[in-house]
Amino acid sequence: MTADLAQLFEQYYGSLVRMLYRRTGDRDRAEDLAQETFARAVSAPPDNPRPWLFAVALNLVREDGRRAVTRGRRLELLRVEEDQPQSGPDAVFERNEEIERVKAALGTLNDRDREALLLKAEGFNYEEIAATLGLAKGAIGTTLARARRRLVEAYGAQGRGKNVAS
Amino acid sequence: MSHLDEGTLHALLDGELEMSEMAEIQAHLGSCAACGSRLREVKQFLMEADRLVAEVQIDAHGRVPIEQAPRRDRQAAEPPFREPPDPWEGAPVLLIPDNPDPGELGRRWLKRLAWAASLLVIVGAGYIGLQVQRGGAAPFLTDAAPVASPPQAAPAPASNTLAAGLDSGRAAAPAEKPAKAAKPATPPPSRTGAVQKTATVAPDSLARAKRNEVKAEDNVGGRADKLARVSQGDESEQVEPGETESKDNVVREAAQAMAELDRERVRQRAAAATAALDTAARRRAQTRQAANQPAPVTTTAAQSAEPPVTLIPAIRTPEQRAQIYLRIGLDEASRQLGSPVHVIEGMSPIFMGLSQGRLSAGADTARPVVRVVYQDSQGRLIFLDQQRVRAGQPAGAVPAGEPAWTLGETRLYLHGEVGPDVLQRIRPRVR
Repeated sequence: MTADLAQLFEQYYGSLVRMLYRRTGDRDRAEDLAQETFARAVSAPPDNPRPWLFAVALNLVREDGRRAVTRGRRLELLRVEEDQPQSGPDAVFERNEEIERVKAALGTLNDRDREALLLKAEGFNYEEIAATLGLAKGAIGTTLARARRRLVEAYGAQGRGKNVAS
Repeated sequence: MSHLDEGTLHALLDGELEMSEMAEIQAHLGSCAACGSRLREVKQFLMEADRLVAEVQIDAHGRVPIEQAPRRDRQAAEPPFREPPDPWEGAPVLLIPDNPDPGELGRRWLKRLAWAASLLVIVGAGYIGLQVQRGGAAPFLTDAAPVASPPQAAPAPASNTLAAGLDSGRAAAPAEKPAKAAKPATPPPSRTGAVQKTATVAPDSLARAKRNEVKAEDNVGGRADKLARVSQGDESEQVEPGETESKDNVVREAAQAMAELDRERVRQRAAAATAALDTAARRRAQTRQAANQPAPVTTTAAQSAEPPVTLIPAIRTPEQRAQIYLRIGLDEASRQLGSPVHVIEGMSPIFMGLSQGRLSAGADTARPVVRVVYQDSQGRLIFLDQQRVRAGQPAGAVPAGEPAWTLGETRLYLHGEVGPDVLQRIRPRVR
């Protein structure tokens, strides 16, 4: 069992943390949630680990939603300051601004669309996305189509808003 | 069949449709311009959305990658930790129609017309040139004809009508063209061989010959300029009857000068080639002598005067050292692997590409490996080879000290120009 869990951890931890970071915008929280997910996997070993791990992680995100988002925003501000000395201020500023725009655009999606999109980005196929989110496989194409279009449009709208403001 | 909905188009691009659906959709796309256009639009959305999601990155330790390069260079400089897998992986071949709109059809038609016009011009010029060369009827070029065909001009091959026409056509107007026309078409084969040998064996000799050529050109330059002025005068001014004879003389004189220049060039090249052959013969003799007499050999005065031959080893580029046959980006690498590319934490790859499987010990030799190339502070290359594991694929043997392991569905091989101890230290940093 320990060996199995270690293998699961090696295979999916990075992917899980990444998806959770994109979902929450908070790396500390993403790590905590990923560890909590694996802790649950110890107590209830899954048969089909990948969809199970991601489904549990997303449930944990939803449970802890509002509080964590507020905390995450504060932490992100601190984190930006920490990261700055590593490269030029312009590059860091530009990079952070870009990431914030994408995060804000992701934030405009509803939970289902956003999670489908993030799972797809982690290499899930439609069947796995459907199993993780509890949707019909036939609905995934439409869900992804809507999510992608909204993300791109929201991102573009922010760019236009920024140009108008400046 | 009704128009395809957006979800179906996304499923199509994600490679999630069944074979039976694919055939039907492909047939529809082949006939429906609207759906073809929407498919392209959907593809743009899909690619942009994937790019945006990939912007928000984090490594396996929960750290946000530090930005090292400005945004413009970021995609080339830094491997995103996450890229979407290849949506076409395992999907049947789909021919996406390129249904043009009416405006595009018009542009294509105009393009064809432009090609046809260009061809007509070229063929016409060739025909005129041929007539001029044969001394036939080209009444509107008779004023320029004496310049176009100097007496020593080598006849073009009869079979190459177009080339002959072009050559003659070019020679009709400009100032220096007659000089080139006066040159022999090809030097004798033996001389050509000698000159080529000179270029490879004694570049210094060739350079000297080149300088001499420049001098010789300077000597005849005045006459060539004169010729140019005359030819321009032929085109732009009315020629007085009394001046015709003197112009003919100038033309003849210029042609002779060009012939002299050619002879001089050939002489200099031959001399350079002979000198190079002598040098090569001396070197061969020295080599033979050294092979026969391992003891130090006393060189003659002539030999010691020769500069020592320094063999400069060919400098191999990192690409050559990495034995990569095709450089690829992150997207393509992710497609090859069906999962994100693994990287070494804390190191920036200099490039990545495809390498033959046989060059990575333990990998499936029938398939390429994705090779991510790093360089350490001493300039040594480190390769992180990755290959997608197929079901039932046995793990091949790897040399001792070269780590090889499996992460997810990817088999990784760490090796390179560094020692095993370095590889072992790097191994835990692979993410």
